[in-house]
Amino acid sequence: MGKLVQVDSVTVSGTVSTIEVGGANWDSSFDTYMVTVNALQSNTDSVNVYFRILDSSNNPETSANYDWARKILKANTTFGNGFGTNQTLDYFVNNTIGTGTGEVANGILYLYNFNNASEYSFYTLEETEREASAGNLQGLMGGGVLTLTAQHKGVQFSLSSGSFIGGTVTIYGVA
Amino acid sequence: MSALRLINETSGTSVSSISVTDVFTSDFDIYKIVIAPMDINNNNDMELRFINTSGSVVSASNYDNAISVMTAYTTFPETRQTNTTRITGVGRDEQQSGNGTVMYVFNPNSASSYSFVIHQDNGFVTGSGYVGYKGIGVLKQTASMGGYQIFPTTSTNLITATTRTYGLRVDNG
Repeated sequence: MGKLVQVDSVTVSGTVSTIEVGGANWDSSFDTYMVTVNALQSNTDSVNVYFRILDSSNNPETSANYDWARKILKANTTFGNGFGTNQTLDYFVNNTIGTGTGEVANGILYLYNFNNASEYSFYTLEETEREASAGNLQGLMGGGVLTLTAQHKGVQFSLSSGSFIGGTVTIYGVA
Repeated sequence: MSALRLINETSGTSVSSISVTDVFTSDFDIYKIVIAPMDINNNNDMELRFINTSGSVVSASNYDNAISVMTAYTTFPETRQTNTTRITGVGRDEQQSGNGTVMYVFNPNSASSYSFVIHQDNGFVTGSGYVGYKGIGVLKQTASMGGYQIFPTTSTNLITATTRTYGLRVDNG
């Protein structure tokens, strides 16, 4: 089992519009990184959680170069498939999180090739949340790629509206 | 030192269940559980219930779960349940023992949060072939959990398994 070395961690304090890990604290000595996302909580009901990759200047990459695919698990109804090409972001949750009890998002990502400027940056995603209002358990199992040959230095989470009022995101290097 | 900290290792041989108590604490928010090797004496899924900090197994109908079943031999079925008494399919054993489970548990010790689970596991179905599970689950109780119990779907079956519980350490400077 690999050794995990903490690179950066952010715990939400007060209200924040984005959560970024890595960036100025990036440690480029790893081939693979693991990101844990614990109990992301919003102050606004029915909002989506966006996921983007940080570029080598520590800014979120917003160009239309995200491709992704996933199985959407739902405890209450038929599963779905989610996919997209040439997108400007990825979605960390299938539906939305909310302000009801337990309507938070949790998950694990693995990041690959982020330090290799001659390869695309890949990630895998496992996530679960209770969707806003209805409170149904849902989750994503899949992954994606940023189709840019450049070094990348972390990830950013943001909301479709409102602010984060809770949650911890931590990035580890896998030694 | 690795941020992945081994908290507990518990094994059972030909037992009806394995209980792991006093592993979820305020020291960690996220836990990794690895169940391997795992054997059930008859074809069965492995199930999970949480154990609260008083040591009682939580068997109320407060669990939701969903599994994407990926087989090597047919179209992929789906399994889903709401308001049930357990998280199903956190392991699968039919013909071949030695298959394993990797699971993450989020916020089990928090008395103000629900306890969420993400798991991956696999097995081999007699006469058919490989099967893999990717699943999610939640215990919809805002109560503090201290551990968990694994057991086969059919109560008369017996399991032989080792489960290791790790905490994912977070240091906030």
